[in-house]
Amino acid sequence: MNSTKNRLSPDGELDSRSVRNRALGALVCLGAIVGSFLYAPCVTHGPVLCLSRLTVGLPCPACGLTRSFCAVAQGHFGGAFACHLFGPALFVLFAVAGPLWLVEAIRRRRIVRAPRFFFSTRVAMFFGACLALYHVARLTVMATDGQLLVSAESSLAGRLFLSVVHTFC
Amino acid sequence: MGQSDKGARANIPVFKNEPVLVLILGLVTCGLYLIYWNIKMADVLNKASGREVISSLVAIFAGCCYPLNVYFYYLAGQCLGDVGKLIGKEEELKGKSTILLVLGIFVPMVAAMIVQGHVNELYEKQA
Repeated sequence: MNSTKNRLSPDGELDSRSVRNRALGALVCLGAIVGSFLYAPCVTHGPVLCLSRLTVGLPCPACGLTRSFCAVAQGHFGGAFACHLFGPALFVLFAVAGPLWLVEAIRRRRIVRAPRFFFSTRVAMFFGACLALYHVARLTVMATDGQLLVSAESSLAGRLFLSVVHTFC
Repeated sequence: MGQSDKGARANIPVFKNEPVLVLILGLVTCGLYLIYWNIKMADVLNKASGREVISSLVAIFAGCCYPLNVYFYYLAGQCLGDVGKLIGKEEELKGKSTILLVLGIFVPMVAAMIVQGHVNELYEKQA
């Protein structure tokens, strides 16, 4: 467990650095939430934003979060879990943290003290391991039903490889 | 170097890697290594700056989720200023917040290599 603390005055007043951090955190969280509502209508035919999927065709551990967020925004909770298991929980976390940080940044004062587990490395390792296991399971399913091969063939590296093969063979 | 600096360094967990290894492992493991790297680095940077700046839960998804990535590297850039205090390069590292933020958007693995490189200096000074 971390023994460090945020720098606060006794009445919970935040220093300028903490205010900036909260303002950016709020911008990120609220941007993601608002973005999921705006992007939802075109999420199925939008560009591939993941560098790993774009270049080699392998999805990264967070692939599917955008689609999951958009599904939550449209009220399709089953679809949201199908796109990414952690998507709906992360959406709720963003929806709570965004407005809270915004109010704290405006008032320059802490309203709620973050639970200790937010800064616990052990808790993070546990959730990180869950995410890694989920990712490996997802890759295994994709590999067995042939999706991974299709994705690899349509990636930049895959297309380059195929064009080289067609040229020389 | 003051006694307080020595005390602060003693609390910092050791997480020393070759920067290029971070890039290679990140690519080879399809981003799985970056989840581990972010969690460990958040712990190191929090201890180095003596305050809870980066939440470990933010660190989990920061390796591969774009908006969180930007936030993570912005906070990491701030903590680098504190690392700079400990290695005597405060002004140099303070100026890297913006470049880390930009690299975090376009090439996060390069940003990770830069952070790892400076954190390694912390242990080299310690030795």
